[in-house]
Amino acid sequence: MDKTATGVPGLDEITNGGLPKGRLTLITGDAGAGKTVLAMQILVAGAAHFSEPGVFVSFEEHADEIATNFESFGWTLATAAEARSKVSKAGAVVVIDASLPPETINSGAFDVSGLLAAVSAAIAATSARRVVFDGIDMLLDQLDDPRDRRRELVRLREWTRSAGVTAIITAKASPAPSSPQDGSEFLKYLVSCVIALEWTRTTYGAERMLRALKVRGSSHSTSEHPAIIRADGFQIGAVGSVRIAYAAPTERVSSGMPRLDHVLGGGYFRGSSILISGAPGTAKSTLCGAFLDATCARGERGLFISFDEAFSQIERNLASVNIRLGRHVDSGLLATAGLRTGRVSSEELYYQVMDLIEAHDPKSIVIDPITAIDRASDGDLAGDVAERLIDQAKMRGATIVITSFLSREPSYLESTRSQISGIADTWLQLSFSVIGGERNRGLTVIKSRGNAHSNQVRELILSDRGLELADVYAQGGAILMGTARMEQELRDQADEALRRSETLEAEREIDEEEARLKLKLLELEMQLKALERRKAETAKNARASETRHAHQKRRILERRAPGERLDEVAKPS
Amino acid sequence: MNAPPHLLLRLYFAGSGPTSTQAIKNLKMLLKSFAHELELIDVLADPDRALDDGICVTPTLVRVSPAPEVRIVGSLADGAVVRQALNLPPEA
Repeated sequence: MDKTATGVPGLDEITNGGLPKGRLTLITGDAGAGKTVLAMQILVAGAAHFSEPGVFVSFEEHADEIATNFESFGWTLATAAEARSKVSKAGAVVVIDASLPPETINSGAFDVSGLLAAVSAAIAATSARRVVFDGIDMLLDQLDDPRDRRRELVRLREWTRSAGVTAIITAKASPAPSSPQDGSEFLKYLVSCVIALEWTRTTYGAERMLRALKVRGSSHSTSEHPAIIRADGFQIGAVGSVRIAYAAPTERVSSGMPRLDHVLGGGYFRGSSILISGAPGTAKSTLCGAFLDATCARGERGLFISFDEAFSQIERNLASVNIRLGRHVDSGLLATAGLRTGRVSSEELYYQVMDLIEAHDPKSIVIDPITAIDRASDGDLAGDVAERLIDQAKMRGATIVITSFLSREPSYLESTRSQISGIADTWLQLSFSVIGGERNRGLTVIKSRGNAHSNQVRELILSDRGLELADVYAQGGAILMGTARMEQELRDQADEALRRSETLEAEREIDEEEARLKLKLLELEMQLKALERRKAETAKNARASETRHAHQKRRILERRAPGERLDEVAKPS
Repeated sequence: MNAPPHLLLRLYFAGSGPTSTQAIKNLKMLLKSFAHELELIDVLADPDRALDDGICVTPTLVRVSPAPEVRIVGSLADGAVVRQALNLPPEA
């Protein structure tokens, strides 16, 4: 089945080419979902981009109300009479006011054949290829008999085929599950394509979803797609249906911290995505700032998008660690924006970011924190937005660093967290460690696609000289940082000194003992010598005295008479 | 007593469709005893007229005068409703 591109951003991807050409499409949704805007936008885009002018038949609002409603979109409208007399502007959508005045009285069945004749006339006058019947349920509700309603819908469908126009009817979604006999259910059977719009009011605004329930004769995305109404109409996020191919990055770009580059094997991969997660105050923004500082220092353009924090404040904080981004802003390399999340949906934020990216065309993008988008969203939309932003950055070959308040601990945002962290190529986790009453910053590379890396915690040190990554100090299975690390270092130094001094002491004691013993030995030797001297003396004296005795004896004996000598007497002969 | 104001009616219909045929028949029945002027406009033949007059549904009966303008859509099946809307005296 032939399709005709709608020209609505995202819708043609979701429907795999647009709406069935020459067939009937239903746009359904609650009041306020944006059915009328989407339908009108398809006409405007058709006239502007595909040479398919449009006719808009309104059953719900008067022509003047429609003119007022679409004034802000800058869309050009005309009446049928203006179109016929060729006074309308080129590309103007012809509006037919088919609303019944409130005082209209109803009596009996009617049909739309007269209306279709009038529309045919307008088509002939404008060469229209697209027609919208907006709020047709308003008219058909006036028919009491459901068979009459179905008959008129069939008439409309047959007219569409014979007129050869692509027709869109909009109708409110049925409030409750209903039988195929019900008007709105019958409509879904009847038409070739069904686009459902849903919206919910969130704390900060409206959150819209678009789903293609049916596209006859074609594959199409069946999932919910986030949608948003901007100043120029609908933008639909076609995530999931369009997979984007991008070259696997091989070139490295600096993270702004040489040590971190080293840990990562040379830096971030160019065109990759980096998630920096951590509690507030763990220096996520500082890491982002260092990255952009390095980017701009290479002469490349960078973009810093902060949420709910003015960039001037971030700039001041960064200056305290000697990262000065102001000069890059002055040189025009760095663009910055502080976006507010209040009262806008996550879809709106997505397009605000995309506008900035398109305007500056940066090589490096920082979104700090990406989790701010959570606040603008009730569901898993934030994850979708993050995923799409990463995709968009990669498509452009830009390196994107996003930060997240999320920690490794399970949280109520578990699904979003795992989603974001699953998409990111590199995941750096920043943490506080409280040791000895002091908080220190730690950096862990949790994931880094494409290179081996250490999972060890390193200490992130912020000083007026800049950012540094300190060595891991592991002791007994614990990682030490900050003062504790320093204390441990000192303790170890003291231990070493003590060990050395103990050795010295022991050596000294041994030396002393040795000396003492040697002294003692000397003393003993001296004593021994003295003793030996005495011994020798004594022996000498003894000999001398013996000699003296013997001498005296000899003299006595010499003085005695012979025979008086005792020895001779005593000696037996 | 003044003469009743001039009754000017327009009926927009679509060719020989069943609701249009019925409306013409029902209307002529209702009006047979009243002085009136009726303009029949076949939208299939003159769609621009319907566009310019802001008529989107067929059949549509418009009381042009006396003012105010009254519009009745449908086959005019319920005679009592139509009489009341057009401010015609009840059927004798």
